[in-house]
Amino acid sequence: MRYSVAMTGEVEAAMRDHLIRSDGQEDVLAATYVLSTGVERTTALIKSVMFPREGERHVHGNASFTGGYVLRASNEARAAGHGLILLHSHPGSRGWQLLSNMDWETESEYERVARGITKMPLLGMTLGGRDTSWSARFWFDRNAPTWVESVRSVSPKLAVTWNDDIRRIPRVTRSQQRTVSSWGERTQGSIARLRVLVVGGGSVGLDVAQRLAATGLATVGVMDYDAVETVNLDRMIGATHLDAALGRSKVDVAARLAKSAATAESFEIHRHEVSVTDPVGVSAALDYDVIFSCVDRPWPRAVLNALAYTDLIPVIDGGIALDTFTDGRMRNGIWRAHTLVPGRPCMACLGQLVIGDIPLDKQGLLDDPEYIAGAHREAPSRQNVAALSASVSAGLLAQFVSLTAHPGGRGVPAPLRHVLSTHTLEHSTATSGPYCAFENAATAGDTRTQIAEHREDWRAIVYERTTKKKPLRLRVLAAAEDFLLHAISRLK
Amino acid sequence: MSEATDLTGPTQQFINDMNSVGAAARADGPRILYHVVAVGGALSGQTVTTGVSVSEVQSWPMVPPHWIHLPDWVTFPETNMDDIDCKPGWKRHSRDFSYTDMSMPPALAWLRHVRGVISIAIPKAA
Repeated sequence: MRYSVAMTGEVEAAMRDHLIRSDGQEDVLAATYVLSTGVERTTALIKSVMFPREGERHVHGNASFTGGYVLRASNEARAAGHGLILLHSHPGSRGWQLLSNMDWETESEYERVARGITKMPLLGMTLGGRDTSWSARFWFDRNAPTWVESVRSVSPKLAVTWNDDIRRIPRVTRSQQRTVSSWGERTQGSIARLRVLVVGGGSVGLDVAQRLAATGLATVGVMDYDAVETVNLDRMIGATHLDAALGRSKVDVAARLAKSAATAESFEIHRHEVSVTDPVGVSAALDYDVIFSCVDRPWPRAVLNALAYTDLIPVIDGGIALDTFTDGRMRNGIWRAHTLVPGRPCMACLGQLVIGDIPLDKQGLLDDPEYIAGAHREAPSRQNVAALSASVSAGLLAQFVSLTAHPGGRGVPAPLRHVLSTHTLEHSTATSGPYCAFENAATAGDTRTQIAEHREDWRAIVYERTTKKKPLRLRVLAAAEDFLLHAISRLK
Repeated sequence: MSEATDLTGPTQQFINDMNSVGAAARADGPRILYHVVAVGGALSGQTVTTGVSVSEVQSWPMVPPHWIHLPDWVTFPETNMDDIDCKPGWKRHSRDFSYTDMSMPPALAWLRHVRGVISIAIPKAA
């Protein structure tokens, strides 16, 4: 299991403002956390900050907690069902901070107090004041801490402090020279280590996955349970007639193309042949730092909309709508791109997710012609054009760059909407609704309301595909293709 | 009637939220029933007992229910309907819920939707 910590930008600012003192001395602070548990990674989500009261800590160059402060914080954490975090600052230091003997002893001593009261392990955190870098470790016992891999501050700017010993900085390769010269080695070193999941392996998702791989990311995941069909080939650039004839899974095609586009010295592509509307899909998604939402149905989009806030995983979402006149000529096209993070409105607040359609999608009614006719609804429009779907992926990727590289010192913009007929780019003025059930569930972690449900339908589709025997002619062609791809991959 | 201890968190929250907006709600087997005063249409002024399936509120408040349970003397000119989870002599009716306004509590948005639907109902005896 890997470990990490995530917090909102608002919580980070509150903790930083307390821990970085104007007199340059160290300070201490207590906070609480809940867990967000994926398949391979467990994340502590910082819930609340408990500032010290008068006399609860000593500031004397090296700051220290009083037992009363730790007991109060532990009891308040237990009452809320949270775990305890003890934080301290190293004002003159930069980068990932290790523990001095004194800090080790302090945290080791309080480990038993915290665990005894909260029934959860103590989390220790240190702030390096020179560059606002956070480091963290769990104390599962009092002997030695278990260091986390990264600490993420999530707001319109995603800021990650990496533990270089656990997640090493990928070496810059020759094929990345122009990328690195665009934003520098430090930014490349951070972006390349992000684990990014693309949900939906269609026209947009396939493009996004390849470009992330070409940017130098070391780990990309693709999630889709569907297969390539001939009708997809006008938009899935890189998918072949052989893919369609074999009925290859979209994740296999995405994996092949991403591998071939990858510039990292060591590239991992994770194939998730599952649905994000099922708990197994949600668990897999919780292992990632950023998610691209390249799906268009209400239910999966609702699941992703929730994860952006409940588990502090930025979700980059968008889509395209093409409109035609009655005679079939094009009237207009609109594509959108927005990033869902605390501090930016969710899909529902943006009007990009009709909440009332989610139960219909869950119950399969949006695919039921009889229901559609009875409800006097229009069937969902299916128009799409490869020449324009590239605009959606470009919009999503620009959001990713703003989120992670902060060009001009700024993070993601307000939600963007491009209108093709008038050639205008609009910045949405939508704000978060005070009763938004998604945003109000921020940092719920494992106590999140479940939108995903165990279903057999997608499992049956995957099972049928994987067990279906393909004609000999197609199997021979596939073997020849594999041989060629393997040979090409050995070229450096 | 279900015991309160059988209710999941989202079910209990739906009941609490409906109560907080003035629609006294209670669990009743596989459904939750509550009362709505019709504010318009043929049933105007009448208190109508209505409900939702418990299975439809398991992601509340992020995901609202869809089907509206009503006694079968309440009908509509055009509707999809069935009797899943319904009391004997009741039907579930489907009406689009185009809820996007996050400036009001979800339960109030649902209640207004149900009131709107009931305002276009046709009593069978009429």
